[in-house]
Amino acid sequence: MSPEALSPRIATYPPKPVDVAAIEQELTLLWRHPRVVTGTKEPLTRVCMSNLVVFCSARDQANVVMGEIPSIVVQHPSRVLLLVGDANSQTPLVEAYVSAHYHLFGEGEQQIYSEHVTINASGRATRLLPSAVRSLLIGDLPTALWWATPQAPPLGGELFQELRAMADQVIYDSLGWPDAVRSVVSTANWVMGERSGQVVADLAWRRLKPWRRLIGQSLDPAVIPGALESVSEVVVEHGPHALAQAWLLIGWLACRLGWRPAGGKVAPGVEVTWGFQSPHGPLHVTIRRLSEGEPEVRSTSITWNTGGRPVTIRFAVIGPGRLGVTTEGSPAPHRVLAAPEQPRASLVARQLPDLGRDTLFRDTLEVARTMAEALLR
Amino acid sequence: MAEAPQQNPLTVGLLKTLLPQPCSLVIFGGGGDLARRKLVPAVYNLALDGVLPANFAVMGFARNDLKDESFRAFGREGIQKFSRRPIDEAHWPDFERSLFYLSGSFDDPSAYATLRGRLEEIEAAIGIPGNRLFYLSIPPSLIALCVEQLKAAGLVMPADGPGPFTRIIVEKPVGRDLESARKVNESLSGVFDEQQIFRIDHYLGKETVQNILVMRFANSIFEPLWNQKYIDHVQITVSEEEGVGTRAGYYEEAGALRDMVQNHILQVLCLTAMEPPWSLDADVVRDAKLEVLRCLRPLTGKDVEAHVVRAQYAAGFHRGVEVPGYRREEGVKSDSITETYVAIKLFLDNWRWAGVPFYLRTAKRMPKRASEIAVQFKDVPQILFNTDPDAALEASVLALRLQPEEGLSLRFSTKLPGPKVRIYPVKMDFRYGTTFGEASPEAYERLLLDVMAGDATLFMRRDAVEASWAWVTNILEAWQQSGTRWLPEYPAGTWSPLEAEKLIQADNRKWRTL
Repeated sequence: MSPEALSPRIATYPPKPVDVAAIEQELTLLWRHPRVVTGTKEPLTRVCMSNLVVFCSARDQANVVMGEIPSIVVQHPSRVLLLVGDANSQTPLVEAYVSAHYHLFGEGEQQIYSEHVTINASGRATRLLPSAVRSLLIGDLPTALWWATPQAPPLGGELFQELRAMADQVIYDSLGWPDAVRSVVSTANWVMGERSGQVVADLAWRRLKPWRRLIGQSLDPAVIPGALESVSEVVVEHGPHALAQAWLLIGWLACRLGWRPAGGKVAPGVEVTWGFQSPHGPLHVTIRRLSEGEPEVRSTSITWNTGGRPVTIRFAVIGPGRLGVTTEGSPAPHRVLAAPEQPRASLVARQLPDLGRDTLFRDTLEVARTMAEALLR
Repeated sequence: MAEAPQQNPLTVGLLKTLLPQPCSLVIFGGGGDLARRKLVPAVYNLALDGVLPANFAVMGFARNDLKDESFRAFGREGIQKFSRRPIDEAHWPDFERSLFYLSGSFDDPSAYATLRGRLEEIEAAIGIPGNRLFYLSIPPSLIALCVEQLKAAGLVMPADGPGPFTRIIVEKPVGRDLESARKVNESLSGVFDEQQIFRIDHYLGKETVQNILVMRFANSIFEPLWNQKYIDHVQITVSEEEGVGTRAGYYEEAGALRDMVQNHILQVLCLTAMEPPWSLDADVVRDAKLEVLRCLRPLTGKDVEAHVVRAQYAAGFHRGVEVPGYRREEGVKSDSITETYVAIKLFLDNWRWAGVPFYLRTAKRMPKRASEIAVQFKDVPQILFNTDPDAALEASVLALRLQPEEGLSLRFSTKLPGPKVRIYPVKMDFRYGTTFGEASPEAYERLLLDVMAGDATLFMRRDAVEASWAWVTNILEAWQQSGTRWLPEYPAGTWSPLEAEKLIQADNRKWRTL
């Protein structure tokens, strides 16, 4: 059977159903008889930099992930173990498939090959997933758990804890969390209590990197002296289900600039306002949810005082991959900058080799937790 | 005492290189080939990656009669042909607004006054606080003139002042021998502080060249073996497929020794042989590299004859196509004695490398383009599996490939399957592209970002440039004194002249086949 062409350079071998106990054996067969699989004569190289364990709680989530895996393994070849665990189903069922992803490298001179195992489990059978994973991990390689469900990891209960214990890093995405308040609090509690040195990465935090870079550059003391010490107001607008990301952005500003949450009007709704106390005085933070648009931070306005008058700089998404910067009350002109689009697959691929603990994220999350807890009171 | 720059708390946790301050890049020779092929495409890719400063401008400055609009068209054409990414029409209008051009003569003081006025006008409009990078993509003979004019026009800010920064980027070659290199450096240091001068060698911006240090010092298995106790010899090869092409004018004056050995190869040698620096600070790394150059055993007089081979390519075949010899190339003198091939056997007189020969070779019109550092380990004792002198075991070799397929391979011996003990050399191969998938950024992208961030680690310091020229000039002088009117030849598309084979065979070794 010939591989399905995903692009001129990427192909995926259709999944072959196998017995869970025979998965490793089937993977070896794929490797030993590559020409049967690929139908081509190019030399085949199996490459593996990580074990990537992906957990989805429903088939529709897994279908999305299946579409993302080929581009992840092109950037970071891995043995992929995709787990689909539907614990709510009444019927205990386990089924497994082996597959492989190929991409051509160097003018078609070589085929690179990553293994892919999918295990679907439902009902009580989901409890078998950790043991299946344990036997399929390749030793001496880092293991990442990508928690690819819209549920915060600690809310995944025992299954999450068992999978997490096998991983060197846990990747999740707080964009799309339906209950941001509870999710942020539980995740922050877990991360703050984590003592094993495990890396925890939120893709929503990673998406903020261009924002952080741009805000940091634009308000650099060498460029605008005194701006960071005299911030009086911050307004963040975000699309649906991106409240947690907006908190992270504010949390980052707060922990870097020494702001402390000081209460204020924190009634839940489309717009939430917080009071913060900076070393130089009080400031107001507003987070506003837009009714439509991409589920991520869409704009950030920062106001500071210079010479007794307020100046506001606004960073806003103005189109795909484009960020506009405008400064009100200053002669500086309107500017448009490239902000490369960041598909989820690309974010995961970039996170996988990043094995350093991000203490700034941890500090930021702590502030986000404080903001979330204010809404619970 | 200068006021310390105020820290930016928002940049903590972000890579310093990716946080350059707003600045202008002024390209002297902005209408030239380097600007079109490398510099403008590099800036464009940095813009697409979103890592340029928020406020940024490029100003081309040269004699060519271009305007802003025609410079933008010139840049666009260069990007279309040479950029690693095609033009993104959605971003192009935003990008081209940051490209400007000023036509002027490098020896005309009024052109510099106009340049200053134009920069001030653009910087005020864009919000750049006067930070400037001057990229001298010009012949070395014009460097002194340009820097003097920059100073006279008030375009150079002091290095240690609290105001905006001024940095200058100088392309290799810095001089053509020790004396001329010193003159260039004198003219630069008369105007700029050493920390403002960035002598660029694009080779050092390559990912794999940077990886030499990572490989050596981030793995505990290599460094204990990295010395005269375990290493038999080291071969560093930089081979080019192309002939002299359209660069005959330059190459006739340079030759392989000046073009490749004095800069690229000696820099790679430094990274391969240096002691572990105690930190990654620019000057600490550069001090460690300088120590290697200081340990180079000088080659003078008869040593040059015995340890250095130079040659020229003769007519031959390159990938099945007949190609002319060097002396028949356009722009080359028919009696030229410019070398297109150099092989050198050298020693480093220090504890680590005592008695270990380093064989360097570089040439044009080789069978293929390849650069690598090969470290050959000593043979195992002639007992057990290595007793038969007629079937000596192949030595273990660690090869770091710099191009074209960046990576690392280790050759070692293993047993062939079967009842008989038969040993066979196998190769364990790691390829960057295969493993990491992503295309590396161009060296110029990395290096331009480093200059913007003020990180000089990958740039050559004055003392290192002069130390390498001092060593190379000895060879050049010996060649000059020899009065040779004919060089050995090697057919185009072959690996080496006979003389180079003899050089290494005399030591009971052989050149690696790449």
